[in-house]
Amino acid sequence: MKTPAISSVLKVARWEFVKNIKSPVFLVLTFVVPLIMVIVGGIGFFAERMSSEEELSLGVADSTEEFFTYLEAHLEGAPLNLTPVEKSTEHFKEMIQEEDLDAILLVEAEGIETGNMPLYMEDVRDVNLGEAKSVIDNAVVSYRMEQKGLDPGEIQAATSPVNLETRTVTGEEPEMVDFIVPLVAGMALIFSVLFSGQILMYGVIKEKRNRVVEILLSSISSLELMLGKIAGFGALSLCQIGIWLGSGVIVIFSFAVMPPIPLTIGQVILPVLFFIFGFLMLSSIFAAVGATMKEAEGGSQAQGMVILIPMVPIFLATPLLMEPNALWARILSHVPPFIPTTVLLRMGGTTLPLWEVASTLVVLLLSTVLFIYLGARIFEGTILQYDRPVGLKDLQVMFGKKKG
Amino acid sequence: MDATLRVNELSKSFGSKKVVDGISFEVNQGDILGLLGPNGAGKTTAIRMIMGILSPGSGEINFNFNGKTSSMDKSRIGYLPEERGLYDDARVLDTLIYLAVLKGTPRKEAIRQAMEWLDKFQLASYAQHKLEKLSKGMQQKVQFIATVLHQPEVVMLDEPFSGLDPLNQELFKQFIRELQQKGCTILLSAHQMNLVEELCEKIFMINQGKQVLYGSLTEIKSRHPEHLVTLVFPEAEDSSFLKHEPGVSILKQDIKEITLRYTGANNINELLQKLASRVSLEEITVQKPPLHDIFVQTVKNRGETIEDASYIQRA
Repeated sequence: MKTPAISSVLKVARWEFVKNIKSPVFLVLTFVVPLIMVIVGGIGFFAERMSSEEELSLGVADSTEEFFTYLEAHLEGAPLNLTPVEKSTEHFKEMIQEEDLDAILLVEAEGIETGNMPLYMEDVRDVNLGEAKSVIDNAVVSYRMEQKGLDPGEIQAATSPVNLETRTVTGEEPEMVDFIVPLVAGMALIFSVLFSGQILMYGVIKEKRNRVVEILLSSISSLELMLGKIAGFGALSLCQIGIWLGSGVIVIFSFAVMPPIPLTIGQVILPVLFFIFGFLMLSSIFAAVGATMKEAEGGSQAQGMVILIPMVPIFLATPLLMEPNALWARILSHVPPFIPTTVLLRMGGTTLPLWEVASTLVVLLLSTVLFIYLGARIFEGTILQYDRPVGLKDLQVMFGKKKG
Repeated sequence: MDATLRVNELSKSFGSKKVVDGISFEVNQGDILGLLGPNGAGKTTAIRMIMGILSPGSGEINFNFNGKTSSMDKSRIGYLPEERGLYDDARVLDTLIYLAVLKGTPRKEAIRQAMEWLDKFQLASYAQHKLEKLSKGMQQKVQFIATVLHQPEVVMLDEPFSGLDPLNQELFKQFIRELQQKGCTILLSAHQMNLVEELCEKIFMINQGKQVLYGSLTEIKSRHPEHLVTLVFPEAEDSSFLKHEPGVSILKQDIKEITLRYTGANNINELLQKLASRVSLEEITVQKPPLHDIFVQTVKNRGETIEDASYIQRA
């Protein structure tokens, strides 16, 4: 395969960028979809907040005749309204309905001792206990201590919470940015590949369907065409992320959601490198798959399968963040299609040793070059196959035999 | 004179099928070579190899630009593929500029040339329209402009007349001639034999990937031993003796008119003299068969078959 001419690659990239940045699909994916996501997320956030702020009306059937006052003393502003009720379990249902209670706590000396305290509700699914449990916990612990003869000052000293001040061995305080940047880069990669990769693949299928590709290949090589497309969509994707980040920063500053985070080049460079090469590698897979398709319908099915590649590490995000140095995580970090997302997620969970950063980056670089080469070969070998989709047999012929 | 395009022993297989089988030809500067053959003969594959879109299995393709031999310089070649297509959701002018820029034309020059050509084809008012808004005939014109906009030295036209009405066929013929007059070397693949005969000096006929006939139109016709003779009698004549003449086969017979094919070993003049002495004639027309018939006959004589059945029926 001939060395691609940079000027040809740039011409294709410019065309793809200018053509697609004005396309309705890009505009919808860049502005409408994130807006819908923010709205849905916002509704969920506010609903949860409203529900946690809702006051819980708790009836207390206290047979000890002293625990109620402990409970009242431990409310400390928690959204909990306490009402003393009679200790008559057979009438709890009427009491809940008549007194408009959410639940009734049955307090007995034995229950306080063993920690098994029954809580009656009309329907357990309707009641959000919220902070009620910790209030009851604290009241029970204090009550027990006082029963053992401790005075209130000693009890407060014994139950004051612990604040763990985490530090690295060099004495530095860990910075939030070290966790956030790789995770943001990982999520950006997923969204870029989902959005731009999708437009890229449909673009390739469309060019094949409307036969433009033959005209393009009469001017430039398939490798130049493919690199140009990937570069164009890469720029498009960066532009998209820029819009999202810019909007995010504006929201953060305007509504003072959180304080600004200072960033250094050192904190950003590795996540950005993994993002860029990851995007190139995954895009080349998308373009190559698009080249094998005859119609967009086939493309959408294939896309569903291809999209799983960067998504696999996302399904494993929790164990990856909890055990970033596990052997399986290290192996997955060196398997080409999964490298970028896995490494970015692990970076959010730990500081990777230098050798591992180097080895994953080298494998990522080599596999990016390899995937682009293979993608261009598939692109070249299958792009003129207009009448039917490309099968495994065609690929075998393409890679297994010499040219005719 | 060095040929602008020289193809030597070019071959290509797809799997076990040999689609192009050792074809060789040359096109001199300013000439139009007609590449003829039925569907599936290997014309498009050959053109795609010459354009560098497909890599040849074996053989050589050489271009000669200003005395310098080179294997390929895509910026000096224009290509109108058989499978037409442009970006239907992009503006006409944007598409033309992009394709010209890809061929190495500076953007400003591409805009100027594109507007000139659009004007020539009376499409200037559609420059800012999306291609999908244009009629099929207009789209064909835009595609033609895209082929020649960068002022190529060699142009490959694969079935340029297909889908065009007679009026637009004439227009395209006129522009092809204009290109030739400017010194452009043209390889023209078409199945409309009459149009090819009008435009091309040289013909290369291909069947099942192999060369069938190659040479100038006059050479090919004169080499072919067959003549078509039409005799018109002033009144009904007894021409039954013709049936016994060696090499004569009657194609059509009316009371006053006979059309026959003569493939005899003797000169046609001997048959004409004999005719003149036996019957009174009002009109004699002697002509070589059309290219299509020559092609089909040559393939049959070689004991080969034509896969495209509709092509044989046209004979």
